[in-house]
Amino acid sequence: MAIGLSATSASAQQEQWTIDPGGDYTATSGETLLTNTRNDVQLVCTSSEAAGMLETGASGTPAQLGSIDQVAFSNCSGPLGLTFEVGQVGSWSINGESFADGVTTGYVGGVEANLTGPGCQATVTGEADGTYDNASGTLALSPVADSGHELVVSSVDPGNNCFGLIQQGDVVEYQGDYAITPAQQISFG
Amino acid sequence: MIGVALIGMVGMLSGVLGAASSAAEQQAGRTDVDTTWFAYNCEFPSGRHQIGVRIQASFPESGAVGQPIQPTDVTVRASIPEAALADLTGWGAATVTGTANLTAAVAQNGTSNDVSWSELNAPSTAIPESGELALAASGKVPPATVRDAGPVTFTAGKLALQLGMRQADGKVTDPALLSLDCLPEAGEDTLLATVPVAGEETTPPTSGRSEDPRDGTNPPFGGAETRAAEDDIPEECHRIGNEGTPMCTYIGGYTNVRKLEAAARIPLGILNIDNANPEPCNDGSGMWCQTAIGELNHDGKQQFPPEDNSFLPFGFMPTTATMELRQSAPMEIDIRFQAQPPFDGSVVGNAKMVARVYDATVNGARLDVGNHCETTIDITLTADYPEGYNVQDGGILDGTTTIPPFSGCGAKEDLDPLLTGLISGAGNYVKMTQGNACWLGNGFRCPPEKPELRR
Repeated sequence: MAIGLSATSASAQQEQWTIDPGGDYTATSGETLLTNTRNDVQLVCTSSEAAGMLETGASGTPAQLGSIDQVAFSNCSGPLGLTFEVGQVGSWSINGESFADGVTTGYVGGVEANLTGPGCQATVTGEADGTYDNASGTLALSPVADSGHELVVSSVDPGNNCFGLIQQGDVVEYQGDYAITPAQQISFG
Repeated sequence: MIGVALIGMVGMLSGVLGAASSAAEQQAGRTDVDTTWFAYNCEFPSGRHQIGVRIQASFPESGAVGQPIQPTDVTVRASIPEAALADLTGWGAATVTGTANLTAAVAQNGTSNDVSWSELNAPSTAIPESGELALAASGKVPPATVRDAGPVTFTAGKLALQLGMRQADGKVTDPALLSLDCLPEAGEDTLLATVPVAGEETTPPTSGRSEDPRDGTNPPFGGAETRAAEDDIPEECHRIGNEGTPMCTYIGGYTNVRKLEAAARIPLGILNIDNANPEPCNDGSGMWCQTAIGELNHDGKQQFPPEDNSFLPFGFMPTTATMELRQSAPMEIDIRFQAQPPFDGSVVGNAKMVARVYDATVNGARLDVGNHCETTIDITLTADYPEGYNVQDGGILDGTTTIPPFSGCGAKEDLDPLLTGLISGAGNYVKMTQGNACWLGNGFRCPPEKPELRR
């Protein structure tokens, strides 16, 4: 009985996320990297831009803190002179899971992106790890060990198989540091 | 008497000038030329006879630098007088089939190259009891490509006729064939057409990226590129194998012939490439390895377009020849590359080619080297990878090759030593230019651009 009461108490005191100022934002990144963990093949884009909306408050963990409604990648290339474009499908979510020392740890969810280029058509889906640091105003997307989140190559066109460098089922990791404008102050507690 | 009319020489300031033409009709973008009867002298067994030769062809109204000028609907008509037919009827011939090989001089800005219109065939025709025998030989002829602006003239030259003869009962005569070498009467103006070529080197519009099938992808945002509509893939492009990534591209270039202090131009041809999936090289370097197989395709044959080729003399040796380069084995392109930025690597292309030389002249005199004057050349090319060359964007591949001795040269005498002495040797620089790849799987960047050949 005591255990039950304790659980109820915890639920009632669910911690709150506060995002200041929240609302519409834009984000820009320099070089971004997509690494295939199966073979260490990397695809690089020279820059990326994003835009979306942030909540002003949310509760619990994980909590959706906002969305990435638009994202674009520029000058994307790979080995063998491969070039490709990245097309976003749908809207992606920004989620917070933990908070410490001004740094929010979470993930971008609902990711679906089409990689399309000469001889290469693939789709990546899943979730990408990331942290947001209040001090720098930067959303750093980068793998976090044992996070339980992963991006997977969900399909590859057999006739445009990116020279076989990307195969269906490959787990890929995304890295990109996005400066958020306006800078956000996120707190949790 | 067969005269020369100059009707077509006047009045047409643009478009094809149909010279010596009794009729030059302009269609959309092309002009049909129908010449008057030219006087040609042929060496028959019984002696020299004059025949009439009339040429019909369609030429483009204008040409562009680096782009083929393609004559079409070519028919060479020959009218053989009764007096000359005595040789044939004397062997019992009742019908004749004919093959015509007309040498067309393609000239521009004071230089001229001979092009062989060799695939012209005349159907079986009965020899009349009296009067002239009229043969009409038709077929496809190769295009001419020029590198400079200025009017390009096509002029009829030597005509080689090979007549196959049969008796009335269908049996072949003895001899079965009569070969005639015919030259225009001295002073005869056999100009067929003048095609104006203007402007700088042109290439087809860049397709960039073609429409992709990304159903459901959000509209482009920010720096996302838009894509042009999908373009056609050239007929000569095809998949070589069943695996790997297929694509096609244009490739051409120049090879120096060191002994001649001259360069031979290798015209742009379609190269189909099958890219095997790369694998780690597993040699401790951390590099990846990929082998691509390349096959040329010109009218279904694994060769560069033959007729555009010519040695380009730039010294004081007025030696010209037409060169046909065909593959004796598929080209192998070996690529080593980093799988991570900056994606550096290296590329080596190996090709086994057979170079056949024909239509040769030395010091202005025709040298009959025959139809099988050739040598096999192993060519190894490298590139500055990936900045100077990569599979997708093309670029420059170059190297130095040895041209081995020739064999099979000389229709009537052994010219192997002459050709070998003139051409064969080491240290011949080869520079090939590859255009962008047209990806056959999804039509990206198709059709491939025709690159400007670098020298």
